[in-house]
Amino acid sequence: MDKIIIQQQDFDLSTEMALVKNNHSDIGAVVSFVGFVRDLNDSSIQKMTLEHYPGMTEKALKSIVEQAKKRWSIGGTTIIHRVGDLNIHDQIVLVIASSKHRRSAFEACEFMMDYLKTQAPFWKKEHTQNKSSWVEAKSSDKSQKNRWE
Amino acid sequence: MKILYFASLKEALKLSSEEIILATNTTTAQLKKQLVDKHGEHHFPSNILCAVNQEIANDTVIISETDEVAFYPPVTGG
Repeated sequence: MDKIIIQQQDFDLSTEMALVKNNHSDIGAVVSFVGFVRDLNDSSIQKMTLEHYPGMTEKALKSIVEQAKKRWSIGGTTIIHRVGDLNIHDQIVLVIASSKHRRSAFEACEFMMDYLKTQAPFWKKEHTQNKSSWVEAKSSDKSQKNRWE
Repeated sequence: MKILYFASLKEALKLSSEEIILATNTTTAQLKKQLVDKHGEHHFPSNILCAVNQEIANDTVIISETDEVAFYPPVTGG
């Protein structure tokens, strides 16, 4: 089963890992990625707001999962992305890929995350005590996505 | 037709959506020009993306009244 959810509330990694594996005795590997709100700029980021384009986001994520399934022999996948107001250290995103063998699960998880970062319509706004600013897209994210092409 | 705006573009224009009267056989590039003339070029730098019916569209896509069209800055999720 493939699960795609956009939600405000938090998620639980171990619950989601177990759900991906449930009823699939042939799954030997489950790889997950969790992204967190962090402050790399040392600019005292306290909060973050995540905006998305409802409808298109789900469509873009579905297309990413379909592309991963064409490239690798994988089982169930999960993508959960949070939106709304988040605090520093909060979980933002979860991507899970399951497979019979580890290599395809590792690669598919990385592929889905690289595509999510560059294709899915989400936008981050960072808030410090004094100001709020939209996060700029990074060219390194684009080059990481391009290595799959 | 209805145009949707997101993130920094929505904030800069102070609009999440607006109604536009569309000529027949308008392309995405022509629509963008129409919006630039209305709101100013500085709001639509070359990295602004356009989606038609929730899929990324290039400059040559022809738009009809019933399409859902959105403009937004490069994405930064994950």
